[in-house]
Amino acid sequence: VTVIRLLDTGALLAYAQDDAPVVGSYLVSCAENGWQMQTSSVCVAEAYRSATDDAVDLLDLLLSLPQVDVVECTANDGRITGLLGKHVGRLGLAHSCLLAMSSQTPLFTAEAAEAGRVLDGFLIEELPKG
Amino acid sequence: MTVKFTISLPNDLAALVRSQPNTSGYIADAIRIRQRVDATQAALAAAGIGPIPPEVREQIEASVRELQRRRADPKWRAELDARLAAINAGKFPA
Repeated sequence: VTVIRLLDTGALLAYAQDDAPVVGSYLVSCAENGWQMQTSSVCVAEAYRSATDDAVDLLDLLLSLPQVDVVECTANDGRITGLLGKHVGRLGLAHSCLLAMSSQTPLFTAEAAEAGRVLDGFLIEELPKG
Repeated sequence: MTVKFTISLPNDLAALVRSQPNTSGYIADAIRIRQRVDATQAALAAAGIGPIPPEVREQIEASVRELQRRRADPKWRAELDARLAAINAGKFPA
């Protein structure tokens, strides 16, 4: 399966709050072409922590779609995720940056400036801050 | 279990299907893809998200083509690996 984008916490919340129609368009494109998007389990946890009741329902829907794959933050990821966190701040964004570099996949994020401390520009797709 | 039946197709599609080594498998794959698209569109429509505007579809497809071009470049892969190694070694930025 070709993974075409990563979604960080802000991207998950932007979708769930209907602030990022582009994410829905990517989901339909994934379904049409057999592609996938991925998100970190850390971002999933952060998104549910911040979501309103309505947004929780949309997060449930998003994460139930076969076009969205949740990637675990494994024991092996812990060290470098923490080190990346020193540069970018939140651990969800740090693990997303690790996934972006290791899988060569651009990241949908509302924290483009923070992600840009470790990622090159091609790997950053900026979403409006919610 | 499979079922055998006859279908009618426009000439261009019939030619495409005939050119496949496994015509039944090809059609089954196409129907499965359509099922995925319909299910995703239904789920998104239920959430108030409409179909993709044509210009957005073209942008997405162009961005995926560019991504595939980049991924085929071993130099880019090496740059990303080197950056991760530097971060892991506490030597980023250099």
